Amino acid sequence: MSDRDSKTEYKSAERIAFDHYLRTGRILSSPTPLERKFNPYHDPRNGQFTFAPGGPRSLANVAISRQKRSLVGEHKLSNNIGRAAGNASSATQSIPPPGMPEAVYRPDENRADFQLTQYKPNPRARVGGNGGPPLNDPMTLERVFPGISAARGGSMLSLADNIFDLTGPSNRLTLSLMTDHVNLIIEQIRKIDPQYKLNTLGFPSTIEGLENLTSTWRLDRASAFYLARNEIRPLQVEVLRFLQEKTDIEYAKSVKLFNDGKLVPRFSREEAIGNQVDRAVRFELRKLYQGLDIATNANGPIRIIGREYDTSGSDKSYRIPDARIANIAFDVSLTKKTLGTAQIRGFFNADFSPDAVVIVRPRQLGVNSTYIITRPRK
Amino acid sequence: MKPYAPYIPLNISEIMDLLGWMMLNAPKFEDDTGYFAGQNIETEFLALNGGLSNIRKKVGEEAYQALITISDKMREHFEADPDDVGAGGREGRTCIREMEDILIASARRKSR
Repeated sequence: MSDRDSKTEYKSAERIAFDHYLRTGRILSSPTPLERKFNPYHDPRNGQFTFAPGGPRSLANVAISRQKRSLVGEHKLSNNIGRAAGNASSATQSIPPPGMPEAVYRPDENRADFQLTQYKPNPRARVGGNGGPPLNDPMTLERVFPGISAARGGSMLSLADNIFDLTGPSNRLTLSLMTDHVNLIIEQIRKIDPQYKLNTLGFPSTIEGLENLTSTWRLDRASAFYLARNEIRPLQVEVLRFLQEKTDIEYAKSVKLFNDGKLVPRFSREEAIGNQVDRAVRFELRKLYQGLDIATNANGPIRIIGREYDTSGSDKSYRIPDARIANIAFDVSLTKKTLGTAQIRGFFNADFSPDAVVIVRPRQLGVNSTYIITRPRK
Repeated sequence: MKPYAPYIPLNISEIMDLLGWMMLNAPKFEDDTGYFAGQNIETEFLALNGGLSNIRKKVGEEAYQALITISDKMREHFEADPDDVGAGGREGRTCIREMEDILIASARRKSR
């Protein structure tokens, strides 16, 4: 089959009618649904060639794929074979394969039992009836930065691929996957907080709207974990997501303003842009914590731009990370910082003794822009 | 999350952060990410003026009055140029710089 044929095969009746309209300027009154004869000699589930059902060879040497056996079930299959044997006398009659009752394929139908022949199930998909393949929904930094638990002290680890990308699966599937995912999040929140109320007027119909809503509910889930169970790790992940998103947005705005001559630097371009991004992101974080009812202060585990003292030496010194959540410090920065940077060493030497420092940089600066530095071992 | 309510800064440092955010998000101050639905010029000037009121004693009456005057002027500029294409946006951002200078000077005076 040529490439051209394979493309036309997937055109819907509406698409064909629209093509016709583009070519001729005439609207087809009622586009007849396209029908294509399905080749019954192929297993509809995996596209592999098989023997014609009902034919003599199909009974002589029945070949049934393991996948089909598991999908249909031994009992049902044996019934089908039995029926086929009964009809073997009439050679013209054949039993359509399961899920293909008329042996006719209608491209405009979206039937769940049709699968592309090249379809292969994702071997990494979670097993169990939890709504399909996993979306990127890590709840601990160990999953955001793979390998962190086994990393040597002072290691720098970058984010897992597409950790913030919820649109990994094909667009056709994304909306339904996300809808399932949102329902799962709401269920998780209500397990922790039965009084939880959704602050939304309705369910969005676009992927963008659903993404925004999903982000908000993930934050609600993290907040519920923290406030009700004192489990702070999901909050570390969600705040990192939030910081990354806001850093990217504010950086883009800042660069645009500078290029338009609306951002006047006091010292340099980098200083002007970096300073604006830092301050804007910190203010966004304050609004976020207020919206989540999470207190930030020097005595609690969550702080924004607080002095973190190092009282170990004779001179009391301090460093100021942009944010801190329990044993993790966050620093929004345009420049790459390492353990060789005095500021980072200062964070690790501070009394709150962080296990790691997360450097959040705009993703526009390139791959691996955001990374984590683990605590150096002595 | 709770329905959006503006965050009122508590000290000079937090007002500086708010002004930094205003610089980038002027003149409409609307949220395009869905976290803070309902955020707009009204809510953010409420936050700014509330924050100024919180530091009134710290900065002194004269500086406070100057800051409030500039804040009102800034809002007028931004409201006059909602698409940020004319002089309003530029003038409004100049007001932000003026406020920052006053706040930095006040913080320095206090630390001496």
